[in-house]
Amino acid sequence: MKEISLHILDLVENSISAGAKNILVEIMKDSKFLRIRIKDDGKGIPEEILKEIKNPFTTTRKTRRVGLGISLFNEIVGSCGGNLEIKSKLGEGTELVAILPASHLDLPPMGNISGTIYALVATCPDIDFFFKISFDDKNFEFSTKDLKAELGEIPINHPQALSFLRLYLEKNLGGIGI
Amino acid sequence: MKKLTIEELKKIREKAQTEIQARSPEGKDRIVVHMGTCGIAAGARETLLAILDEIEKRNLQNVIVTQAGCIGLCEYEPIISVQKVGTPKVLYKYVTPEKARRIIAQHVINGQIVTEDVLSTE
Repeated sequence: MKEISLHILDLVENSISAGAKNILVEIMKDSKFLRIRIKDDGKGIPEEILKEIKNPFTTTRKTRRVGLGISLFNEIVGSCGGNLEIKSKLGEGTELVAILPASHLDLPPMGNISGTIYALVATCPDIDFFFKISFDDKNFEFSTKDLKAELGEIPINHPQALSFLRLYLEKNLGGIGI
Repeated sequence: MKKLTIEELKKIREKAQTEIQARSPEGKDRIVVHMGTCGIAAGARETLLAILDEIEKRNLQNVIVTQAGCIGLCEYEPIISVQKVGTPKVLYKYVTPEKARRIIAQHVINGQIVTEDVLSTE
């Protein structure tokens, strides 16, 4: 994957598959480090799987024996000399924290982070997302709970709500990380 | 989130409420974009964004777009499925943003399957 924002999308997909109802995505970048934190309240990862989670031949799925998302991301983190830590408790959720050197040559570009957020919110209306993004001097926070409260009975995936959301994200995140 | 756009949101809410009241109760057509690691790596996000763009531009209120994981057919990604109410589910392969826009126009709106891009029909 060519963009960090695609890895983030992929990692959040794991939280969605784990049945999470609340997902926090935190992306913070300053002159030294890029820090990515994803925290969910999904079903959690069994201890024996967690130990081997960065191995591509480890997965919680029953249908196949490979799980590439975390191992691909771990490759990126490793190639940049960064650190990836994953904590999980069964029945409580999972927290992933990656810290990477912000100016490493092998660090892929952030890419379309607003597209990633839009894709997640638009297709998972029942999940409450909280995005916290800090890029150098720009800060952005967005909670789907707040947006749902403002929309009332209008679904967050209604075409007009989507239109608002897309413009809101482009306005507030346009240019960040690309 | 910032409170600057509340007025804008109120307008959306008012307009959408009227449309929801006028909507047919017959159910919704469903588009599923497969967003496993393989799908994302093959371009599923861009496909999904193109679908959402068409939904928004055409104001398609009877269409729900959701996502699902990998179905084990990684070599055909990006894969989407389209199920119009009362018709079988159609799985499409190698769905680029351009193909997605065509599928919306031809299949979702006009009910004609885009046969050359079909992977399978259930």
